[in-house]
Amino acid sequence: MKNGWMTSGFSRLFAMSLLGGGFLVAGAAGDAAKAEYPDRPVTIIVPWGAGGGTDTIVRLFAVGFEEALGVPVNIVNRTGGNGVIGHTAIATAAPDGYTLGACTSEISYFKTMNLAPLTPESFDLISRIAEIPAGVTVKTGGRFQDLKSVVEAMKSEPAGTLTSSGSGLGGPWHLAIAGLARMENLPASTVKFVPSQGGAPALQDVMAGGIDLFTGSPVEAKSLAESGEVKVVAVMAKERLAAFPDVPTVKEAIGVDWTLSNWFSLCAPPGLPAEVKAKIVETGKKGHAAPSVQTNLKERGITPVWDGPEQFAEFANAFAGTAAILLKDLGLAK
Amino acid sequence: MTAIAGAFAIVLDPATLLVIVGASLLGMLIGSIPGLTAVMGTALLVPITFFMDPVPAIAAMVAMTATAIFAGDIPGALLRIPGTPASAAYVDEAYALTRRGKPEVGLGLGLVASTAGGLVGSIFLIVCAPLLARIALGFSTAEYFWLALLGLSCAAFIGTGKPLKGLFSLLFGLAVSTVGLDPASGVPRFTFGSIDLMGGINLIPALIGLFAISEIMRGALHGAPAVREGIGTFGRVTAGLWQRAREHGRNIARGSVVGTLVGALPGAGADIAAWIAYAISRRFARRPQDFGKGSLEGLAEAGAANNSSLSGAWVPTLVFGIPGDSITAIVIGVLILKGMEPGPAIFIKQPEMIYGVLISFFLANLLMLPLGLAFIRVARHVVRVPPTILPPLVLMACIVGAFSLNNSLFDVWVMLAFGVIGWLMEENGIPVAPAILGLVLGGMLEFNFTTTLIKSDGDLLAFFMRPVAAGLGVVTLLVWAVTLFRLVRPARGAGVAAGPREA
Repeated sequence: MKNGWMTSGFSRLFAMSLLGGGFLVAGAAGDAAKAEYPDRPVTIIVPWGAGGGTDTIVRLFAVGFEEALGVPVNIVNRTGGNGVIGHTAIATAAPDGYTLGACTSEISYFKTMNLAPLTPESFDLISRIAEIPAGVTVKTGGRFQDLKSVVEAMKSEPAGTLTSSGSGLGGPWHLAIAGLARMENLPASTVKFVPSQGGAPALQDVMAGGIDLFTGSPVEAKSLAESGEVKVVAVMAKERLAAFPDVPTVKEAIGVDWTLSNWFSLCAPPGLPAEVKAKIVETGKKGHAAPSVQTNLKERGITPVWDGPEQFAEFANAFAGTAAILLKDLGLAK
Repeated sequence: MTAIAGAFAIVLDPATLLVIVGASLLGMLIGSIPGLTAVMGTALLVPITFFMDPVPAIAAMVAMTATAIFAGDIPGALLRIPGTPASAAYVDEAYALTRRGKPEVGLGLGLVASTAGGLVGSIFLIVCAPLLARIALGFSTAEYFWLALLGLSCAAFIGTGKPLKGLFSLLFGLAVSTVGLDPASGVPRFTFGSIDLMGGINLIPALIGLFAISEIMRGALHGAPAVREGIGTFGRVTAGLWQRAREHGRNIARGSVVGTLVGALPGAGADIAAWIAYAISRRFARRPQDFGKGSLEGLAEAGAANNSSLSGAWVPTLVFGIPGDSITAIVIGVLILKGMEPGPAIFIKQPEMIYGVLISFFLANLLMLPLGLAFIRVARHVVRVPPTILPPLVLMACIVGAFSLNNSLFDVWVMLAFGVIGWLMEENGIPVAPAILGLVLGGMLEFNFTTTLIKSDGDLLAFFMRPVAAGLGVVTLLVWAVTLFRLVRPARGAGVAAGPREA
């Protein structure tokens, strides 16, 4: 497995077919990196599948980042194991600035759920790139018309009668409904969460009447909402979404101040040289601000965010704290 | 309507059309070279599709497989070596015609039958898939559990004709699918502390190994079949062709329908479709005395069936995510990679993509006729490619393909290991197709089982509480009961499935 020439040989073959040889140096250069950063292509590891939410966001961002950085930026998907594999690959890569990663909210609770010894401290956090708020989506013509009726049912019916889905157990969309229940002074597990492998199968089950609520992002439900199959009744954000101007926030709907967003970030293996990190932060910010990046993200209902290393670290730790409390209430913390 | 217009725009893009033509030519080559099968070609196409847009990527696979299944007839007719297992059923008929100095008669009729079969299958797919998707929108986890179990049962018991070996193969596939994090609870299983194994056994490297590596090993150990004799002269392929095609219209039509239905059945692919159609044509033949001596009836019926089954197999693939044959098992992996997760909702969410794929079925099958007519002329040179040239190239393509999927050497090891396993299985007469279905559907089966029980607080009756689920459950249990009954009773008629390998 540690066979160096094989690895570089394969990545060379792969690269040649990909870029006509442009990325050839990536495997081999090694100590040549003494020159000013960056002098060769940069790779961003995405721990989730090609075509998914994280992948889309990172690829859109990479267009601006590449221009600001002046070298090609390659996206590599390392999927599997609920994101553990890709995040481990990011955390254990050489901290030379040529391998970066797209850390997602899972880094806040890998350790809490005993999946992997990874925490926000396992990475050099650069900045958040984007966030997508959670929402509540129901079947059109079903028993719920708005968030108010959903919350009434949560209060009046025995715990576990209502079901929701959208991600794996303990995932962001699980925390979304658990947190809403807590804000209403109900146990976090009032709504039974049925795990799903992504938004699409969960929405399918909402349409089929197998579960009551989809608590994932309204963005995932957009095409089905437009065709009238499902109805988004609330977004868990401070403001309404541009893509859903008629859907109220939770606060507008029931007067409870609850927001939850899944977030996507640029991160790196820990221990980046200071000048390299400074360059990444600077060029990343510039690339992120490019008008094309901003419009491309917003058009898809994604909120662009650039908060820089300090604020991001603060946010990530706060998020990890909230997640730990909710996961403990749900009995998922180990 | 805008979706259909959008779909045409995608498919009629010059780049997409070029991909379809290129893939068709590739399919002709793969099919006409004995030892390279359509399934293997699909596995080898996977890494190339990484660099394509979704619709061209899928269209390439559609076009390549359609022409490869036809081109498999060519070495069958000229050398009596079927180019792919799907041509094995009627190889004697085609070769008998060549012996009589008329290779163009068999090949020409085979081409027309293949094209017609492909078009019938495509129409079935285009009409049925969206309708079925509409119904499937009402399916919850209990229904999906039964669908997956029904698909697996068909693959093991019916598709192979060898229930016990089929079951063994299926259980092996299911066991492998449990490696990695439990999809419902996230508990690691059989990972032995390895981060790579936490992600589970990646489907595509495993499939490349099972199909391509095992085939290379078999070729290396047994040697390629020797070319026996010279190939005679060719008459004009089109001479009298349309007349003959009209005379055998009934065979072509019946073969197309049978092939489409067999294709839609999970686990049974083009090879089984051809065997069944051949048996049916013999049963109802107008000139039964011709069979074995160049029967055009058998050739037309089976030639149509193997191509129509390709399209039929896409119906459960697109609508339920349950592959209809070994080719679509690989396609599912590519669809997911391309962000086109199979399932009924895809018809609402990405209609222009889906219709793009459906249109490309039509185009690819139409294109097959002129390409095939041209290719038959040069075919006699292609079938004589020395068998020592290809295996090293194929092996290299396999390794690059497995690696580039996830930039991980682990996947290369997975591929090589599964190559050895696939070879061992086939050497011992254990069919590989059920293992593949198990690998593809194991996660779906388990996850829908678990989530149904989570919803019902562990009440097993939940699997029969919804009407459609109850119906599917009863059908599944009947399949099991019938198989058990036949196993216990001494088998009288061995059925049609003669135990062929993959398409």
